[in-house]
Amino acid sequence: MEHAGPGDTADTDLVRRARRGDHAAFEALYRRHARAVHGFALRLCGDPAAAEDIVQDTFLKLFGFLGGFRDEAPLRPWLKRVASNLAIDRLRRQRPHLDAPLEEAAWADHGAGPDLHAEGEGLLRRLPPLVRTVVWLHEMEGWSHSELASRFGRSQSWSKSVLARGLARLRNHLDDTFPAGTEAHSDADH
Amino acid sequence: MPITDADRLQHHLGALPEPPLPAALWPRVARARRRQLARRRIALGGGVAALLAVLVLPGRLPGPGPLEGADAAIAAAHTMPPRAAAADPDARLRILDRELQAAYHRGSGEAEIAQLWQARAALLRERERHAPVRPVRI
Repeated sequence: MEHAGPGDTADTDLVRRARRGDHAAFEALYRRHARAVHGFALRLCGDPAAAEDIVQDTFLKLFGFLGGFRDEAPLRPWLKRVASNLAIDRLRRQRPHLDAPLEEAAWADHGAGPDLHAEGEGLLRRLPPLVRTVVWLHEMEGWSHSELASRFGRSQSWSKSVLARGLARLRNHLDDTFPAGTEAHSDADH
Repeated sequence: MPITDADRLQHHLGALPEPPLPAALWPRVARARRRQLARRRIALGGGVAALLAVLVLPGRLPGPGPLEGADAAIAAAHTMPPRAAAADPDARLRILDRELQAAYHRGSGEAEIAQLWQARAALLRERERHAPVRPVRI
């Protein structure tokens, strides 16, 4: 799997070829970016089937939009933005999710098994779908409360409230899983 | 510098390994892409057919743009009736050229562009067969 950086010239060439209908270029673009988009979609929604749908729809949007894509525009951020919007659209279609984060019942365990508790993915799975999306977009992708509120069709105070509760929940689990002084080291540390 | 809760959390989230990409996903995306192209071809085919219908029906075709100066004077001396002007192959050629330019600009597929080129070639052949006698400027 190749890794593509922003403004990658290989991406530019592939986009030009794909624009002319070169199927191999379509596939090459997919191979370069699909794993990152899939991982990102899975972080946001926590549902493998939904993540696959988001990847498919993201690439279909890319292929449909090639004619309007500027050559110098970096592709990866564009793909992640589309995937974010698709994930949020799914949540918005499930309207009750938008109100759920502020209700206690919605904070039931979301499928974390004991084997997942010791890793970050286990932590994320403790959050309702909408909350993990808000937490990930804000903490890891740098979305502002203004962007989150606008995209979810809610107020900034709603976004701040969802984020605060989500972070508090994650910190509690982190403390339970890794009491002070027992911090586990991830693969990324090595 | 002490490590804050926020740092710990970001460290954990940032260190998450990238999950493997399901191998079956590319064939699925490729199939969906083929369906997307087929739908687009049908839609574009309808659009091109409508355009060709307009070009083939001279009475429905808009006339060429206004001429200026000497060209206008020459044209005035050889004024064509409206229907004949609408049938002017040059005007139809200009419309097709604009369509081709627009198709390239929006990144249309090869099928649509090929249809437009075929229509243009047919129009050129027709124009050569029925080339009108034109005034010559001296």
